[in-house]
Amino acid sequence: MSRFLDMRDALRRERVGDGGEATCHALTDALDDAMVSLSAGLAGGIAVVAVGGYGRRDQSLYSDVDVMLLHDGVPVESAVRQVLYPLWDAGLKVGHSVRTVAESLEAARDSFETLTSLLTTRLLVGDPSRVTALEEALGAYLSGRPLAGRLAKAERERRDTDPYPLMAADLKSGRGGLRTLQGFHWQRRRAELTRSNPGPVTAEEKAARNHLLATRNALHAAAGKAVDEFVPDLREAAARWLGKDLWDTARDVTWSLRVGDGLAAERWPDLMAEPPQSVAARIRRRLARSGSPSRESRPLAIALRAARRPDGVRLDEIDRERIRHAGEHDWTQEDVADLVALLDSGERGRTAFDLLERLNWVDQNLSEVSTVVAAPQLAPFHEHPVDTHLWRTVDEMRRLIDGRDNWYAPMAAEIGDRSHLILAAWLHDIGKAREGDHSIVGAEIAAGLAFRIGLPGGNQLAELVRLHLLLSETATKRDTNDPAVIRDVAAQCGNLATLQSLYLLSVADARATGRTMWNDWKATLLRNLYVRLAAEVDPATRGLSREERTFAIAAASGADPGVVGEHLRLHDSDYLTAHTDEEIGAHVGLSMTGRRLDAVLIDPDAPAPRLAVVAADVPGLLGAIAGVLTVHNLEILDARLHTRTDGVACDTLHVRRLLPKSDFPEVAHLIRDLEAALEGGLDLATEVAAKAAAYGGAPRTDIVVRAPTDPTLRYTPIEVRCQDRPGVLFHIVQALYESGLDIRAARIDTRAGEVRDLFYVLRSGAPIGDVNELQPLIAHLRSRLRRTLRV
Amino acid sequence: MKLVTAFIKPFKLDEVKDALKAAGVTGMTVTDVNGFGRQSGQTEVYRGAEYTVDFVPKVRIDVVVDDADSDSVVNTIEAAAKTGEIGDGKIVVTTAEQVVRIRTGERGSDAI
Repeated sequence: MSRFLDMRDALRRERVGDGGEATCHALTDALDDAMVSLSAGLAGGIAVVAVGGYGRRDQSLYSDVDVMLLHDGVPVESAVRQVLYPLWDAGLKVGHSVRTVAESLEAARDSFETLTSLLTTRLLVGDPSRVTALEEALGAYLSGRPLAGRLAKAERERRDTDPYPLMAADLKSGRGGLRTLQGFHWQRRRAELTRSNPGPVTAEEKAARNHLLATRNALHAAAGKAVDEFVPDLREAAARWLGKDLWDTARDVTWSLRVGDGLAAERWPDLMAEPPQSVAARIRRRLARSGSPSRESRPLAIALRAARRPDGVRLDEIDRERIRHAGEHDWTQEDVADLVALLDSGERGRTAFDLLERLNWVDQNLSEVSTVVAAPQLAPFHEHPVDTHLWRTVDEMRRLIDGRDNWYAPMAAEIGDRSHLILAAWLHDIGKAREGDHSIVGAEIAAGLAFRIGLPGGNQLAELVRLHLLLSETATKRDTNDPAVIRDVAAQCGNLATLQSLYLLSVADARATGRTMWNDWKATLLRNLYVRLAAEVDPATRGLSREERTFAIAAASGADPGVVGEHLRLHDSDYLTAHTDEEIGAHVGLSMTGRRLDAVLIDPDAPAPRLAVVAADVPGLLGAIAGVLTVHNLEILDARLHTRTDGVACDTLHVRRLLPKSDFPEVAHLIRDLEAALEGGLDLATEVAAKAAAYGGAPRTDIVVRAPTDPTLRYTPIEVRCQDRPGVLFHIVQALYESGLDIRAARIDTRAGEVRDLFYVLRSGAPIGDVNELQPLIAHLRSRLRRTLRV
Repeated sequence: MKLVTAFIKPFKLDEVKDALKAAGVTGMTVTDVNGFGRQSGQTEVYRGAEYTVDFVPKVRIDVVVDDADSDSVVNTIEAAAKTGEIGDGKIVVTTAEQVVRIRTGERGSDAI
């Protein structure tokens, strides 16, 4: 063993060849010699077999020694002592097994890991017929059992662990790493064992494998132990061992992992397949049918179609040929729209775009982008290569735009141009991996690209790229309490839309950079800066403070400012932003009448006036309001419902007559019926059902009930969407009430015939933070509403 | 030995770091922290909604120095971090009983 250990020490000091296969082979040969020497005089009936990485001659400096004693039933204790004990005594980590051929096959059936380790066996000592027998048995077992599905599943698990390729990637077990490349080797071995055509090893696969083996050896040499992650601490030393520049070393790693990723997507398209019954799969199937795939030959359209295939992101051979031979082409508006749609399709879009890259289409038609493909980023806070960071920034931007928060999503809606935000996210670091300030260089590239391919808003896009670090750097490096700083930065932003776009881009960029770059600390700094800049760029964004609103409401309603102040004190801040001064003034006036329930119409002559209601918040109040309005032929267009801390409900409902030529009912009649309903003197369920029947059938679309689980929320938000019809709000509220939920606030919204209601609820005085409680409740609500509304 | 802990405005970090390096300080620990002093947080108004940031983002710097260097390090931080406005932060000096350089096992002033 000492000669092997000496050899390993020598290789740790100096590699053989480029440090990849040549070093592994030198180490494997030395280990073979040691194993042969240890096995001298071994009893008959036992073969010493190298398996796994050792069997493939991929032995790295400090990797496990995978060895099997393959026997025909003879006693093996002395062989174990003779062959394996010295390995442990030498401090080696040994992956060992002692089996007969039948036991090996049994173990291979039970464990995919064992099966793959046995696919490459190499006889070291003993009778070759045993290995031949094992290979024949494996061949028979594998006949009719392709490995692709299982390998795709394993790759899917790697991708779930690392949704985006990492700089500090695990070269052995991470996505696109050696394990992925070994998958292709196992498929070829299966073909050999089952006497079918194994297919060639492509030059790119071979090169990627060699780079990864070399870097793995370099990491082992640098650490003096089996470290397989390309971590910042070891990169310099690893590059020195390889005799290469650090950037080149990192580039080889990111390129090789990208090759593994790309080949996996090509060869195992199942890894992106969706469960056949999933909603997403059904939608994609419908989208796939709606196109005209046979006639469409534009590469971006083909890629978009591939991204939408429910059976995995895959290209047929005819489509590959179309893309391969597409060459450079003039961009059309359809191409730009498809590019944005691809960017806006998450992992599937990214995978389809990778396929375009692998077919050289990106090089030919988006050469500006190909420079950053797999370009490494060496600063430790960057978790991803440049292009991965860009794609992740796009994903983070999509999350901001589509989020349910009350901060980023409304801002994105205000900007209104989704594709502009998506493109800014994708291009913001396009100037990296080039000489010069990447913001300046990137802005020039973005402007040129926008002009060349016809991206909308090219100048603004370039401006966002140029300024994409402005807010982050100002928040951390400049005195944001200094009005001169705020004026200067606001002037650079120019207008509110640019400021908002930059703010969203800064947040998406920081989130996509890595865990250390985004936290509450950074979020608070950026948010404070944004608010100050917004007030400078557009003073109207500030609005009035609570004190200023109090006086404005008092002046408009004629109420005493002290009374208004007390009314507002009993509400949370959402109430103030949800209602106008006039509405709050009406609530204050109604609350002073001393009646248990009172209401007044605001803008009574308008086609859709607002009804202000103030009442003691008793269980069933909202249901009674919804039911009585339905009975009086009134449709609720939207409603904002808030309850004071002293239990007084203050609601504003935008209502419209279902029969346009009819008179608006007297408010006094509404109040009377409401009181009757609350006292049980009016059978609203029957009355509402009669109205619904008179107005038409059941909703045609399904009912969506959703509730995010967030233990930090004060109330549990429950969103209900369905097609509108008379009485629908009454039934939703009844369902919530009968499920034991207390509605503390709500936003009712009916647009284009669709109800979009959001209720903030408590159960037994507390929010429902546990998903295990929430999910059955949601299921119950959905089922009850389907039954009630007969969907 | 003394442990000098400073809580400063984030944008002052580079200035303080450069001043300490120029003063011969060879190492420091920097942490993003949140807190409030007399400043008592900040209230902002946006779109008519008031929101209060109870804990204001600050940067914490920890430096271990010899007793004899303590005052000059404090003065250096104070001068570099000062804007004269509310929220400039605090500097706290505590006694460090022992310092160990883990790699070499050196102790006391040798480990600084």
